[in-house]
Amino acid sequence: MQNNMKLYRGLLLLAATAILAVTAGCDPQGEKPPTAVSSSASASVASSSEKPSSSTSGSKQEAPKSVEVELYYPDATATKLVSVKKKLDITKEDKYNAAVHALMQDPKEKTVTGIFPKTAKLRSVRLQGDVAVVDFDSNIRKGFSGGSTGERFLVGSVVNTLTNFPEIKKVRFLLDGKEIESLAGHMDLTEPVARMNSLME
Amino acid sequence: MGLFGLTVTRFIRAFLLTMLCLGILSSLCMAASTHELTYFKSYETTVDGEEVIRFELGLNRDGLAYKESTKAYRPNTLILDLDDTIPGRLRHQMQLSGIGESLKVQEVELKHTRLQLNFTKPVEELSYRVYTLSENRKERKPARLVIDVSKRGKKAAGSTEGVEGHTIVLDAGHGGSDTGAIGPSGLTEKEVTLAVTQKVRDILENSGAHVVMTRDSDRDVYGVNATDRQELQARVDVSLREPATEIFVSVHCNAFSSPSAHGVETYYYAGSPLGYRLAALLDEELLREGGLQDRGVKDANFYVLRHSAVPASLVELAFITNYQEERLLADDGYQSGLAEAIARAIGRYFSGN
Repeated sequence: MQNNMKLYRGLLLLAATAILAVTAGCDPQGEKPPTAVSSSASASVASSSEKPSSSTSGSKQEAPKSVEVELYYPDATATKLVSVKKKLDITKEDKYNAAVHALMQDPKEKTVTGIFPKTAKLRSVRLQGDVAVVDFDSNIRKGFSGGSTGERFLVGSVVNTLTNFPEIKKVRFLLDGKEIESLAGHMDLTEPVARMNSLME
Repeated sequence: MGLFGLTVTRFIRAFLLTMLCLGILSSLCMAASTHELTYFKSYETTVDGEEVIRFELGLNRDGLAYKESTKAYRPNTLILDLDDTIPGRLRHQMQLSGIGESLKVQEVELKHTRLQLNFTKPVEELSYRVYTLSENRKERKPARLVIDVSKRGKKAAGSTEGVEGHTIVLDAGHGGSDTGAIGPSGLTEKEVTLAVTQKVRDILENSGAHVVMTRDSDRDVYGVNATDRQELQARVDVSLREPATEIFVSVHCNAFSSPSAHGVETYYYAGSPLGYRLAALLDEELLREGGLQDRGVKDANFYVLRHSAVPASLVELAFITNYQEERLLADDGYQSGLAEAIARAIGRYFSGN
């Protein structure tokens, strides 16, 4: 009996160590430093106090307060993505984060519908070359409607909105900072996703 | 004699007392871990709209482990080996009527009970399910071991032309810890996909095809807590393990954030003309059968399609998030119709028309 107890304890210890070892090696992102995203060169800047300024006095130039962006929402019957122009406040965050944050709010327009679960949170959008890395928290899975169509339209609304910025060609999706393979079990999201033109027809 | 006799008597008494205590202790131990059969009965009932004959054995406690098997030389007998179980007061041999002929209950080894349920037909021709039900105090029902045998039987399934001799992998979408999408009244995608896929299997097998299922019960194919890649690859692997596989068909129910989305769509992987042909035939037959809106044949970067080594299609039968379509998906007759449509499309794929 005593021996047995010792054996169990030993096994437990071993299992605990194994679990630690596995979870420790579980960050596939490899801590890539996020690229700073402050450029707004290509967006149609709609700042209220925009003045033509020389390139040398850049430090004195007032940052634009808002930017007009095309957001892509699904229509109510999920037949296609529909673009809606919105002015986004970019005083607190860059236009990429502002655009995805705006997408996640249910639209007021009757012609389109929200696809994001209400509890989902955006952790960050950052640029790695021409790939936008969009990191959601795991609530995006919990409250999600699912379905091939649901999954394609959620992914498509983010990808098509972000690839509207000419500097972004593809979008990679993360969940809680970790790479994912799928969102609802249909799409293969192991690689960055290019613009989904089939959802625009 | 006097004193000596007294000592012996005392000794014997003490010994007997100890043995009695040990006996009580050991029987207590046994009661704490061993299962005991308490009753047997058989009756007709309906499970998910299907009429079944139920063979029910009562147990004194939950947590029964059992193994199911058949022997080639006794095709009519279903054997159930119950671990750590005693037959209790159950009669050893019972004559039954109807599809079940007799039941034999035997403690073949100490605390290992074997049930032999003899049917009037070979077991492989029956559509049956063995499972345990937990104790239900509210309904005053004990733990039970249940064998449900469908009254229709497997051979009652329809048949279709063109599939004889072909090998087909059928994938019931989601399952186990992954419910898939959930309808407004609580219907889960995983139960619909399994029911429809099993019906397709029955029709295809009935028509001489060889069918491999990625899952044939409510379970994860890879395992609980698997990553998406592990789970989806496990489904692809089922077709890779069977070298004769010719096509892969994955059955799903669609979902969307707004309940107004509705209709049928089928998917293929871009660059696979045969995948497209399969998806187009499935779409055509599903529309003709189910009468829903055509959302079209689409290409998509879906994991099971992209990684399939054979022509593959994923079908979205209808929207489980739409009220009307959820009701249809829950209906046994509607499911059977969709299953026939899928089987017909597969037949047309192979026969080239």
